[in-house]
Amino acid sequence: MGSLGLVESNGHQNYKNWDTMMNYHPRKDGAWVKQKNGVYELNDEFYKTSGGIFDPITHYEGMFLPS
Amino acid sequence: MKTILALAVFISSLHGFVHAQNIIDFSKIRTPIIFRGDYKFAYRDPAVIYANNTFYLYFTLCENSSDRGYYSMIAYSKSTDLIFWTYPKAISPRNRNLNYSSPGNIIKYNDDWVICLQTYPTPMLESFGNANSRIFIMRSKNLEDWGEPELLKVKGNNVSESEMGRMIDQIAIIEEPFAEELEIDVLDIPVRLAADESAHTVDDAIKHMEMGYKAIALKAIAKTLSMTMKIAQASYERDVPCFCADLTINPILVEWNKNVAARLKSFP
Repeated sequence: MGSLGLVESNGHQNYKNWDTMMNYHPRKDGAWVKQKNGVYELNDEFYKTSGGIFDPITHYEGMFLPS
Repeated sequence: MKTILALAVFISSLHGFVHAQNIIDFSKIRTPIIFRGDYKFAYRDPAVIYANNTFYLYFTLCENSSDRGYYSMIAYSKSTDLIFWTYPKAISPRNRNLNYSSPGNIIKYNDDWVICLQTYPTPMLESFGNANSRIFIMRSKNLEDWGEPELLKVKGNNVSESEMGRMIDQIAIIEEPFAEELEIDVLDIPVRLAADESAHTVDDAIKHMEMGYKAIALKAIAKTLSMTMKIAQASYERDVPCFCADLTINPILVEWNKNVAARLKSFP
């Protein structure tokens, strides 16, 4: 194992509707999305898609009026 | 079990330690032993803080009992010269179903001192604390009179005490112990302090690294991905490790942090 970056994540502890919010994730079924024993296992798809951060996010886009 | 409590304890009040070096005549300390254990009592897990011109020493006071079990309590002693120490005084109950023990560091938060501690129940005469071991804090205004232990719900408010699982040996840290505007040089503090909230820009981050901060908390959501890349680059060039700090963010924003963390060196 090479470098292992450290990331703090506590949203699941604080958001009551975390599971609902997870459904807004454009790649919610990605193998890297949920931690396993404290580790996010990033795969090739994560790096190809940047984890989905540049994908359309319908739920949040719907909060804004169309231009 | 025979344990001695030595002077080589961690000085958790770093400002205080620097100050104490100037007023304590260390050459007069003839022995590193403060309390010597015997068949009945043991003194373990020291944590010391210097405040009000006084050293406050907290530790686990273990009392062996005739049924081959033991009781653990948090106790403290104080000294102004590191030579004479007050008689140990327990600040937690003598209760084998709790066995408060292992004081962690002591920090000042607003007007309160806060100490970390654990329970270590041994109701069946176990050697080690059972599955009900949990982590607590206590608060004090004066480092001597402490309130009731308060459970730390470290897995979130939605996880009940019974579901939390066994946990011991806690330690609390403060992110950025000084107010942002103070710009205190921390180079001589022998622990790794992380710059966090005040590292708004790459220039801020560089300034903090030059002030002795030995880690940078990256906040890609608050500072933008673009600025975070610049801060990470500046940190890399100075061999200062980074990590990604959450802001209690939604699942897709966690991916922002993952994208950054995936490109960082391992945190030492």
